[in-house]
Amino acid sequence: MWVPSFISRSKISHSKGEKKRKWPRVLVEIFVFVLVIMGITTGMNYLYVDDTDEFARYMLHDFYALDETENIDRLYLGSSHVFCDINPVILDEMNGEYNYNLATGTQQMITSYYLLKEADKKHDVKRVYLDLYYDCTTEGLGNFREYGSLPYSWNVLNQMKPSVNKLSYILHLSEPRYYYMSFFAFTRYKEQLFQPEYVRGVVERKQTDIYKNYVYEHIDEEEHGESVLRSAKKGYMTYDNMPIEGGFYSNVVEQPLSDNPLTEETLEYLLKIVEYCEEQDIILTCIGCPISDFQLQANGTYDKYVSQVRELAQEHGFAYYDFNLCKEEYLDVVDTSYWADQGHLNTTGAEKFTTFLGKFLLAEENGETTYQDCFYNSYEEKMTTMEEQIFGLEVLQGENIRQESITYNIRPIHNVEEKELEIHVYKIAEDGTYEEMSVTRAGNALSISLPASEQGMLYMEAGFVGEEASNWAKITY
Amino acid sequence: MLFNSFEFMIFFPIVVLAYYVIPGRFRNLWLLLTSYYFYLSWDLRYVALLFIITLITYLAARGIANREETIQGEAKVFGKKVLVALCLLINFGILCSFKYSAFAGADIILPVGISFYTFQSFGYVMDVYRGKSKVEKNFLKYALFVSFFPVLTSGPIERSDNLLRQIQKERKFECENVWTGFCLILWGLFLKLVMADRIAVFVNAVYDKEMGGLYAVLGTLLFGVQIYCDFAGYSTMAIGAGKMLGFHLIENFDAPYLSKSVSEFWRRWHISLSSWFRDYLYIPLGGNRKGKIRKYVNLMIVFLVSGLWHGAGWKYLIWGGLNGAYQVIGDILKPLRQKMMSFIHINQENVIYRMIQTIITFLLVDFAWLFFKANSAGSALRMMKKMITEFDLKVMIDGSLYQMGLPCLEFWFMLLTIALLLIVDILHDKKVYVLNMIHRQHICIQACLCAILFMVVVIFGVYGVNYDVGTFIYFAF
Repeated sequence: MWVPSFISRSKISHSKGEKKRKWPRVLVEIFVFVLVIMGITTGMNYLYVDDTDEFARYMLHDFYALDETENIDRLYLGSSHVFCDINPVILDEMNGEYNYNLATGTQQMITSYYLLKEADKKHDVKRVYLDLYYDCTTEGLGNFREYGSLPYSWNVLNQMKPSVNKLSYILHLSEPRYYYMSFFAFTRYKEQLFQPEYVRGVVERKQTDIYKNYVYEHIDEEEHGESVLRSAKKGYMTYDNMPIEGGFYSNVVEQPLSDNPLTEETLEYLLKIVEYCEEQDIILTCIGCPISDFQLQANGTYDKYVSQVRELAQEHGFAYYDFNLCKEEYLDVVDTSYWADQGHLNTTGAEKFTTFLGKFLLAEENGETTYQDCFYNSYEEKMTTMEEQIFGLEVLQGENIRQESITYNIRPIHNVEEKELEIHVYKIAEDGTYEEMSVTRAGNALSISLPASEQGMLYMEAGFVGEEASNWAKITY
Repeated sequence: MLFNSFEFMIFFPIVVLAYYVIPGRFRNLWLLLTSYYFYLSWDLRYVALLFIITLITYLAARGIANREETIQGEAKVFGKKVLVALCLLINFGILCSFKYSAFAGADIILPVGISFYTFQSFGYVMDVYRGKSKVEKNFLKYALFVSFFPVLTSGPIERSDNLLRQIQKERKFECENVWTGFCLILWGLFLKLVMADRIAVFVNAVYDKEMGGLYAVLGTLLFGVQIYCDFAGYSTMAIGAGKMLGFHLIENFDAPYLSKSVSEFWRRWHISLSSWFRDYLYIPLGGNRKGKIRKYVNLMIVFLVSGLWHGAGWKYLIWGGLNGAYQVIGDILKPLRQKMMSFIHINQENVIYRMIQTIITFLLVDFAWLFFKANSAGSALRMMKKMITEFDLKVMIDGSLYQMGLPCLEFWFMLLTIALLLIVDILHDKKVYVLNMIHRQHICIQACLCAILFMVVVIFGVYGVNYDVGTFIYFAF
């Protein structure tokens, strides 16, 4: 019953003709091993990585396709605000140099750093304009090493050509335990592994001409109509939609910035950019692209952010121009007709801003004093100086204390100090008739309550007492 | 630090690289340091325990050898026996106090691998006592034998005549060993990540909810495969890691589910533990030398102790008892069975007959696994009852099997991998070793196959952000 049997039965035996492994053979083996892995990875990425709606793919393809005669003189880095608000073609005409946007959606500081190095590898970059959009630099997305923030960088990483710079980006981007997702992009789609419908969808989208020809087009159906983002030249993207009537409206809460807004990770890479620019004789200018006053005022603490960046700029010797503090007589993009949404300018707005930016930068470079007083000292000063107005309505779904009803908190975003506001909310019946609802006031807070089981549409309007309503919004509930 | 963790993927290449770079005489010291670091990664206190057990067994063996050389007559035998008994008492006292403290209601966490290195070190003391092994005077070499990290936490439980003998010799770098070891690690990862962890999804869903009917039947059948893949996966990785460092560790599994009797199964399953029990418990108890009744009693003792080795609880005791009982009953009925075979003229070499034997053995072993896996003996009994009372073949066709965490395609993929493993085991049973077959191919084909296996693990492995790497079943023992 108990026969001794723990004998290694699977020891490797070598046939007579088999040669012992020598180093050249080992190197061939390693080469083939790596080659097969790369081949399979490429195939799996094609099947699973859905970059069909990723602007970085189109932008970096254009960037890598630049011929040797096209040297990028001025490089614009940053988030979607850069690729929507700054049109390099206009700037080319104004400054006579070659301007280029290397901006990507929610571009974090580490991405800006490695894209700068990528551009500077092949081009003699003279000036860099870095947008410091607070959503990408502060708590949340500014902690780019956190797992939830990584996809924004991975989207760019996927499109970069293999290089030492890319390897360095991978090694510095995340904690080591996430490296495999950087090297094998398809592993980020593990939950789709056994979903043939998903694969079919990705492959179908990748078979289209617009994908193959690197044409970017993103169409969104929104409350106020269709909005279309379309790739244009040199990393610029046109963004147009139906006019925003009745002021801005949002159902997303704006988080106030902390006392020390820039995250340590952002700061680390901002200083790396400063250092790199110094080493390479590149002039660095940080900018703040326009964001609507609706968004900034809803945030309520923008000045904290501005003052921290100003201190940094002073300490490290780079220029910082935040165009959100620009006086209306110089740059007036307050009207909603300039906006595609609350954060991005539309084509008209971009043209207006780019033209101003071009003039402004040239004047600064030439030491002219034309624009020396064009900025307010603070955002608060801007708000108190501007004409009193309601920028838009923020409607947030409240916590459901009771299951049977849902509360909506209404917050008109404004810079009003003296005038009195009034708000009316109507329930729109199926036959199109309006039934006014009672709005509960608790201090400055306004809210309405609706049965949880009910669905329909609300119309809300806001304005000054005794005047016609200036803002309105229709929302479904 | 588990073999399938990211930390190990960083740790192990560094260990191997440095191991072959440093001069041969320092390699044992390097392995000892890295083994202690490996163990330290769980808990600092565990290291103290490992050291104490190492020291006690080292001193005991030295003491035994000393008496052997210096004392004559009965005093020598008595002295040696006292030392063995003391060593047994202290070592197993420590082991039992950790392992069975739950009986006393204490909340003590079982140090990882304690059962394995306690058995390994005591086995060495017994070998020295029996004169089977020479005493190791060099404490560092002996400490490495006890703490050698590939086998430290889950075996195979090594013997001094194998591992210690290899530690005493100098090992040279051979590409062959590194390549074979790497392939073995990949195969182990395949068994663990692609098979065991995928099967676990279904099995856990069944056992956590104490499901009955066909779910329980299928869950129990699959658990048999899961525990095999999990443990054999770990052992294969350990053997592979050892191989890369130039060590030939003992095999722990030998296609056990192709056994034609339960006793054969135990010669092919967890070989290092089974043989340990045979050599250090069954034979000292008298083995089969003292008559049939004593043999059966010895067998039952061995399997009940084996059950208790796995943990404190009735379920392990029943599991061990069942496995012992199968063999006792099998042996008692053997003459009757053979008479029946000759009466109905069944050729015992017939393929179908042998297949039926294999299936019956698998079902018997698998039935015992029900107790092993269930949350408690009571839970196992309830599930057994529900297997019959809730049996419904409809679940095979109404798609409800796919609601257990593995969607249709993934479920079938799991079955496909089981079929693949079965083929590999059948070939192994016929002394056709897949690794040897691959080894005989052209180096490019070898590299291709190795890369494909690597990618299969990367693509189909169950791992990721929410994956708990601390889930090797035998880590609990």
